[in-house]
Amino acid sequence: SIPPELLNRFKTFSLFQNAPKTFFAALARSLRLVTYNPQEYIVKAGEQARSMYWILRGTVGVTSTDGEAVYAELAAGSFFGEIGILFNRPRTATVVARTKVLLGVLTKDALSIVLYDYPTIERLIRDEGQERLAMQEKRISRPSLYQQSVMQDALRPTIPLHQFINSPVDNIDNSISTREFLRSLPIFKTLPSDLFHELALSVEIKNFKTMEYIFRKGSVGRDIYFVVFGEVEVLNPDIPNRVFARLGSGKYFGEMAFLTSLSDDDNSKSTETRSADIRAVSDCEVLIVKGHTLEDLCKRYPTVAEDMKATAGERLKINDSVGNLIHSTEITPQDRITVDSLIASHESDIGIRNQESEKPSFRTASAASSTTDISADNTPFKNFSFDTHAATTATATTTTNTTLNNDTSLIPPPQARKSVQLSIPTMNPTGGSIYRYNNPPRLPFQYTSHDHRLRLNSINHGRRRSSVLINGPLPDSLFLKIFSYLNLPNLMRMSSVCRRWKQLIYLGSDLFKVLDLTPWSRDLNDEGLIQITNFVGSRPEVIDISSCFHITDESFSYLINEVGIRGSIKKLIMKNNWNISAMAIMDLSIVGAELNTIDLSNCRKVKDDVIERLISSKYDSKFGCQKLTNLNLSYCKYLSDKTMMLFATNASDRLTSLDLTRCTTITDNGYSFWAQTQFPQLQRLILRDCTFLSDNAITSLASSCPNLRELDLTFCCVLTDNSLAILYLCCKYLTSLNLSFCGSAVSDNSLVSISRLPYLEKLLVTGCIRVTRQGVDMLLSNSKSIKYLDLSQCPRANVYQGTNVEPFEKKPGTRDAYLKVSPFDRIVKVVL
Amino acid sequence: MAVERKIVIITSDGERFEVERKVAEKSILIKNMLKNLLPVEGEEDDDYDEDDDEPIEVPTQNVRSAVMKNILHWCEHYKDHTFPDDEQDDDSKKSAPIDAWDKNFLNVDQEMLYEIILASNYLNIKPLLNSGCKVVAEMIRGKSPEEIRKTFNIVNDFTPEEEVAIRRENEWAEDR
Repeated sequence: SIPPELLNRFKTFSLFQNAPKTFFAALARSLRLVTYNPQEYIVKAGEQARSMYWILRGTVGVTSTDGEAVYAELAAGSFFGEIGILFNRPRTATVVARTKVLLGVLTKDALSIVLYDYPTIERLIRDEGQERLAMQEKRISRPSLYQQSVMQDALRPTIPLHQFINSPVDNIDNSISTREFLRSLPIFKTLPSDLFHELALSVEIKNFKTMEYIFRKGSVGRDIYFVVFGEVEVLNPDIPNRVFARLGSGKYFGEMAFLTSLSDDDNSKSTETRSADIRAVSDCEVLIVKGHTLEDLCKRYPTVAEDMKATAGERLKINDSVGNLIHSTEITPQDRITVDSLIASHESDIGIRNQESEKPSFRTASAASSTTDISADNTPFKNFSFDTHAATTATATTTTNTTLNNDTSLIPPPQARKSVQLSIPTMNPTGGSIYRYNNPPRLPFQYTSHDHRLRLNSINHGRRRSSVLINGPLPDSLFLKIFSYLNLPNLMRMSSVCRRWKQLIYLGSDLFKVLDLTPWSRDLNDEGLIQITNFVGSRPEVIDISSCFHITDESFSYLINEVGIRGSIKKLIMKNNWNISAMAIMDLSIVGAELNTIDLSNCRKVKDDVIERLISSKYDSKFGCQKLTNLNLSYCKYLSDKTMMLFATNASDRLTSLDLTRCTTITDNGYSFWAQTQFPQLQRLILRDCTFLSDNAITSLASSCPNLRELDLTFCCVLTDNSLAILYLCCKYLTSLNLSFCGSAVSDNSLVSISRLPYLEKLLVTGCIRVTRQGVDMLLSNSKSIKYLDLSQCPRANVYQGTNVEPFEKKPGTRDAYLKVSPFDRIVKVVL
Repeated sequence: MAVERKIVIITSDGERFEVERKVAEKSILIKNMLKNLLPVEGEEDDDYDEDDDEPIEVPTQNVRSAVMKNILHWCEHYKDHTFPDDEQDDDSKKSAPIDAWDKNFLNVDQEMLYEIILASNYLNIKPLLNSGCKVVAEMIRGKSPEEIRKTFNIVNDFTPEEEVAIRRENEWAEDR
C-alpha cells in the first residue's frame, strides 16, 4: 500500500504516465525518502554516482562546483542523477536544494531490481539518459579548439583555452532544460513523444558571446536556431546602424532559408541563404535544429510541415498585400518579424499556440513591430520549467527595449521600423542577391570530442608545446606508422614517454580503428575496459570483446556510449558476453546508427525485444540500427518466432547474413512469416543445429531468399528430400551448401537435384549414411561447378549398387582426394 | 627492340648509381617519374632511338650515397619480386612477421636504419618502409618508457606527477 500522497506524486512524473500500479508499489518499497534543507548539497561534482533522485517536492538548482553558475532549476516531477549510474560517470555538476526538498533516492542496485520487471520504463529512463548524455557531449564540445581554428572566423573572440576546458559541465541537468525547452516551443508542442525524442537527440547547442555574429546575410545554411537564453538582434548589413528586431528566449530565427528550401526542392541548394545578419546582444545560448533533421521531421510528421507551410503561405499573402508599400524592395529584411506577425494574426487558424503570445512581456519587447497584438487574450505563460528563464529574460528584454527606444541616434526611428515591418522578404531570397555577401560557405563544425580536448589540454597544458624538445629521430607520420604495428598495452604504456608521443598516440586518427580485446579476454574486467575506452576514445569502428567474460553492463555501456555517441561503431563482435544485459545491448539502438554487423553469439540475455530494438522498423526510425545487415545470433536460445517475424516485417530488404545456429526455439511458424516477403539481399544463412526445422521451414525460406549463396543446414535432421528439391528450384545461386548429418534429406536422388545447382562449388554431406558411390558419381559428372565435396563419415560412399568399389585415392597423410572429373576436366577436392 | 636504357640515380652527395630500370622502379616515386619520361618497354617510339644510349639521370636530393647503396641493394634483391597490392587487408600484414631477409638487411646501426626508413618513405618503397617500421616497432615492443627514451634519445618532458597520472590512467596496460 502506498501513501496516496506519494502515489499522486509519482503520477506527476511524465515518465510514469503509463506505468502500472504494481510498479509504483515496487518503486515505493525501494525508494528512500530524504529531505534536504535549503542550500544543502545533494550531489557534488566529481563524486562517484551511486543513486538517482526523484524530486517529490520542492526545487533544486543545478550549479557549477562553486555555485556561481546555475545551469538549471528543477521542480517536483523531475529526476536527476541517472546518467551517473546508468552510464557509469562521476557527477559533473553540483545539485543544491533551493527550497526544502523531498527526494526519493533510488540506489543503483535498487534501480536495477525495480526496473528488471518493467523493461518499458527502464527503456524510457535509459533513452532519456542517453539523450541527455548526447546533449552533454555536444555542450561540452561546443567551443572547441579545432572549431576555432577550422572556422577561421575573425569575429569569433578567442576564448582562452582554460576557460572552456575547466568550465564545469553538468552531467545531470542542462539537458533537462533543453528537453523542456524544446517541449515549450509551440511548433513542437504537438509532436509525438517518439519523434520528440529523436529531435532532442539531434539538436545541437551553442553559445555566443556578446556582439558575436551567429550568421551573416547571404551565408549558406538552413538550420533553425532557437534562443534558449540571452538575446540576439537582427541586422541588415546593407542598412547599417539599424536593428530590425531583438529576439529573446523561446524565439527562433533562420527558418526563412529552411522554408525556402522546403518549398522548392529542385534548386533548394542555391536558395538556402540567409536573409539577414544575426548578432548576439548578450551572451546567449541557442539550440540548433539542423535543416535536414527538420525536413525529415516534416516528412514523417506532416503537421509540422503543414504548420510551416501555413506560415509560408501567410507570409506570401502578407507579402502581396503590403508589396505596394515597400519603398525599398531590395532590402531583404530579417525573417523573424514576419513570422511573428504571422503567427500572431493567424494563430487560431494554424492551431498552434505560439509561445510569444503567451508571454506578454516578450511580445511588446521584441515583437513591437507585430501587426496584431493578441497577447491580452491569451492564457498567462505557465511553463513550469522555464519560469526562471522566462522571468529573467523578460526583464532583460524589457530593459534592452527601453534602451532601444531611448537611444534614437542608433536605433531606427519609428517610421523606419515601420518600413521594415512591411518589407517582407520574397519567398525567394535570391531576389536580393546583389546584396548578398560573397561569404565562403562556412565549414561544418568539427566538433572535437571532449576527451580529445582534455587530452590536448593535458598534453600541452594549454600553454606550452614540446616541439623544441627532441621527440625521436623520425617524423610524426612515420612514428604513427610504427605505432600501428604495436599492440594496445604497448601503446598505453608508451604514452608516458613524452608529450609529443602521448599526443600522437591519443590523437592519431588511424590508430585503434579496430579494437580487438580478445587477446586479453581472460582477465579483462570493467576497470580495464573503462581505462581502455578512455584511452582509445571514439576511434574504434570495429570492436571485438568476444569472450571477455568479466565485463558487465558497467563498462560495456560506457564503451558503446563513449564510442557510439562521438564516433561510429560499424561492427561489434561480442561472442559469449553473457553477463551483459539486454538493456545494455539495446542502448546500441541509439548509438549504433552506423552499425552494420553484430555478433551476439551466446549472449544469453538476448531476447526478441533486443532484436526488435536493434533492427527497428521501416516506419519508425526513432530507434534502431538502420544499417544493420549482418547478424550472428547463434546460441541465443530465447529468441522466438517473433524474431523471425521482425526480420520479415522490418529488415527483409537489408539483411545480408544471418546466423541462427542452435536457435532451437524458432519453429516452422517463424519461417512462415518469411514466406510472405522477400529477402533479396540475404546471401548467407546458417541454420546449424536448428534440429526441429521441417521441410515447411525450408519451403518458406527458399521462396523468400532467391539470392542465397551460402546455406548451412547441419544437423537439421528432420528435413527430407523434398527440402533439397525446393532448394534446387528456388535458390539457383547457392555456391555453398552444408547438409552434414541431414541423413534423411540426403539420398542419391537428392544429390542429383543438387548437381543441377549451376553455381554450387562446395557441398558437405558429412555423416549422411544414405549416400552411395552412385549418387556421388552422378553429382560429380552432372555438376559443372563443384570443387569441394565432403564425404567424411559416409559409410556407403564406396558402395556402388550394393557392391564395394575401389575407394578414392587419398593424398598420403591426409583425408583428401583430388579427382579429375570428366567431361569438364576439373579438379574436385573430396574429403573422406 | 632497342636496348633498355640505363637509369642513373644521383645522390645528394653527387654519387652516381647506374641501375636497371626494374630495379629503380621498386621506388614508386622513380617509377612514376620514368612513366612520364619514357614509354613502357616494347612500345618505344623510333624517334627516340638516337637518345637510347643516353642514360636517364634521376636526382634524389634527400638521400646520401651510403644510404642509397643500401636501398639499391634491397631493390636489386627484390627486382623480380612482385609485392601484393598495398590495398590488401591491413590486419594480416600488420601481424605478419618481418621477412627474414629484410630483418637481416636492416640489421644496421640505428642512424642508418632511420635513414633507410626516411629514404624509403621519400622514394615510396612501401615494402621496405613497412619492414623498417616493423623493425623499429620491435625495438619499442616490451620496453619500459624509460628504456624507450634511452633508445630514441627522447627527453622526458613530463613532470613526475604527470607521468604518474598517465601511468595510473593506463594502469591496465602495465605488465602486459
